[in-house]
Amino acid sequence: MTGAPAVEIAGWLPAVFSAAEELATTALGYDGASLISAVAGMPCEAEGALVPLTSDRHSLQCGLFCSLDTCRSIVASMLGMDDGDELDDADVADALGEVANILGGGIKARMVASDSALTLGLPVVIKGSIEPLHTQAQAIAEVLLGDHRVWLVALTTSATA
Amino acid sequence: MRILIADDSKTMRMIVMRHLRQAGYGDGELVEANNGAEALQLTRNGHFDLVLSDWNMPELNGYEFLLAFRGDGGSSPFGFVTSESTPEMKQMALDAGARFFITKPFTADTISEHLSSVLVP
Repeated sequence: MTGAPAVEIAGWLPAVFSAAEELATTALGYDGASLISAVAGMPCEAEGALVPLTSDRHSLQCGLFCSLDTCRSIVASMLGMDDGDELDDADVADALGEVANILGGGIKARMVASDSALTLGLPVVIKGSIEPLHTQAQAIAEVLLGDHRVWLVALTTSATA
Repeated sequence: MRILIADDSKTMRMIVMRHLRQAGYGDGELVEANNGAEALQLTRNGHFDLVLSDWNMPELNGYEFLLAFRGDGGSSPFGFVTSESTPEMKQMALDAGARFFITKPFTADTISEHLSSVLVP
């Protein structure tokens, strides 16, 4: 373990947004991403996925959430399908996990100078709101990926928890 | 031409196959594996001209799959298509016999650029 202090929640956000921007332009074919605002929470019907990034100094969960309709549009873009093409729930869930996976990989690449020991875990798909524990700090940014409104989520757990 | 695509995400396998077709490799047989263990078994049962693998997979990860594949004497070109990418990982992969390392997200052009050095469409 190094003596360097752990990165606070705000320190992760530029990497989260930058990774989401890359996801939008490269994997989804959108023009780009723009930040709307930081928000306290998401609508309870949101759907998305979180992926862990952990080391001996950090425990981060990060991911992307959106409405079900937006999820389907994003997945269709990712797969090169038209919005009207059929997607079953399992395909959407799998793709949301992959979105979180790509996002997590992008964050890791951008934060490697701060913590080279970060390890990317496997994603988990979530329907509904996230309730942070008292040992966790959460940051949510409302963002436009192309024309699609999404919420980028970062959740850190205190090393002393 | 037979190409093996190992990734625990069906979505990513579909994306890789779409990009392979766009890059001119669609006439070959594209075989899918859900994880490294399944992929290794497939390589033991038949020859592949190219192996594309995710790194982070359950049961047997991509790096372990590569080591086992080379341990079996597998000599086909092997490339990673993965979300995680650090200089250390790339070096580990190259040292173990990988030919290239593609980081997600990627485009069909990226696939084409890397595959052109190891396969003719």
